[in-house]
Amino acid sequence: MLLRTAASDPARAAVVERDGSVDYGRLAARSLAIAAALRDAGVLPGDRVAVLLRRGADAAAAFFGILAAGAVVVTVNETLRPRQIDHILDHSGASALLSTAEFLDRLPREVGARTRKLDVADVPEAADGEPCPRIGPDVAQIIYTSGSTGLPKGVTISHANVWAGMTAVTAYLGIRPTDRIASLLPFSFDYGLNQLLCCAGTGAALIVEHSPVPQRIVQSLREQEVTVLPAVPPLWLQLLGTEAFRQEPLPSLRLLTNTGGRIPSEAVRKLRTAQPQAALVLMYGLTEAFRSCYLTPERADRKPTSVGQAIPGAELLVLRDDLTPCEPGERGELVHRGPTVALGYWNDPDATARVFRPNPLRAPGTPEAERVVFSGDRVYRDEEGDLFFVGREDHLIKTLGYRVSPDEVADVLYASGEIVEAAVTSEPDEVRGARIVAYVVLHERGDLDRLRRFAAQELPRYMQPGRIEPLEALPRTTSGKHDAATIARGVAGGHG
Amino acid sequence: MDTGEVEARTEAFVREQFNVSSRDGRFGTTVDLFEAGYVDSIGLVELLEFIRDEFGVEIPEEKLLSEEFATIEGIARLVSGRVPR
Repeated sequence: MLLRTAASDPARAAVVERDGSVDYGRLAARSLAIAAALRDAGVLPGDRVAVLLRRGADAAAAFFGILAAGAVVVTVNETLRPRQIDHILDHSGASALLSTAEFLDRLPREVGARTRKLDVADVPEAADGEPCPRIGPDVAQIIYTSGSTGLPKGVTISHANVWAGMTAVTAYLGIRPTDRIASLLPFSFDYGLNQLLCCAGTGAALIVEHSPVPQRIVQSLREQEVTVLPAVPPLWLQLLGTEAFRQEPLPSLRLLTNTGGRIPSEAVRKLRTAQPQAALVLMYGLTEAFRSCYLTPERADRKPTSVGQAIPGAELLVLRDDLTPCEPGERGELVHRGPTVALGYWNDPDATARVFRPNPLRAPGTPEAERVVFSGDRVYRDEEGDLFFVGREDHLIKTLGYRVSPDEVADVLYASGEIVEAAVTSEPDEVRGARIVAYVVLHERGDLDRLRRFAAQELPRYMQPGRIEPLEALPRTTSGKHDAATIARGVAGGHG
Repeated sequence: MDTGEVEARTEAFVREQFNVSSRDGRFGTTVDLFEAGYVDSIGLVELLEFIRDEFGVEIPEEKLLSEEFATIEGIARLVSGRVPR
């Protein structure tokens, strides 16, 4: 994909950062240099290679370089702590970690004691060579994301999945080679990575901005003449908080896209008023199927709470518990069919069998080859076929655009040794979407401040409990489980 | 309040709040907190809250874009000039 764009248009800008710009020719040459360095280090086709780099030209070259070596990309989120990084390296069996000394020195302890580390600063700018041939069903990347139970799961994505996702998105968004797409979200996110893929697939330019200061982001959108702005709900709210975005349309900006949670209806209206020249596309997806549906701009004004209809090439089913289709207006589970359905979860056949299942609506006699994704999301469809998100069937928390498993947060709190019990839940939060709350029973010698410090050390910021409340005891349901919702109500009631 | 004290308190806050490792030799009062990725978007809100609660200072919107606001040293200069007496 990258090499084709580079061959037809080598001088076109690929990745633009504040301190310089890299064209497609240089990006392709750098990717091949990284592929050669990986091969020299003993990386074989099919090996997993983890990437821990700052979002930008080198991270982009690392992604394509690993693929060119025939290996599998495992992008590690920049904000993760050693506990999560080690889990990802161990679980994926990564044979190498591409990073920089600067990044690794920032971590409070060494990671990947058994993983070979390559510093991208030591890799030459360019090299010749042919990419290792791969076919559609080969694994391209593993994206680690929270599952409904236990530690993060590795969603395993084929080359065919990557290609199908990129072509569907560029088609329905109408991405052109002249577009300048903002990159504000991590590449470890399927949504954040897709901005890079859409650029590489079409020859558009990726405009990378690292600053979280909304005024700075708006300045960069204006100066860089960004045409497409993909963001998540907390970011829209921050942008709407700045005068420069609210009061003056950015003339180049033609498209705003959202996923990672619902934008409040009021904010949708404000966005439309602030940037009336830009079309707003509201989308929904989960990593296991990349992207499921989108709401066209014409409908965003009329149905700002809908997530629209299936992306090209996909079909979305709304199923009852007995696996029969729901009527319009009836709530059921969203089930995704199509070419972006991932291969499953890496090294986890049980979780794979629960989520990636045969198509229950196949005609009798149809072989069971197809896998569909049971999303765990409750939705309904209106009379016009537009989908509405109702909630989740499990306890996954959506915060700051991330999925967070309450179990994973609770496990870390237990590991502190300060508590005997923990129940992790969330409460609505205007900016974050949801705020993580932990109710704990302290050990007799346990200390709340030590617990807070431990959580701060061991969890990335997006997984931090916003509040830790010590209680005398945690009520349980009849089955012996903690009932976080009851606890939350009890605490709220107790305070009047 | 003098600039040095504002700087020391701000540095202590940033180190603790954003989990800066003691192994990290590149961190300091002149590093760009945002470009280098020490402070994320929710962190920006927390930093502004800290400045308001600790020093009683509101940073005006146009100053958020300034070079000064990007480093601990610059924040100390911005803030110490505005601390109410």
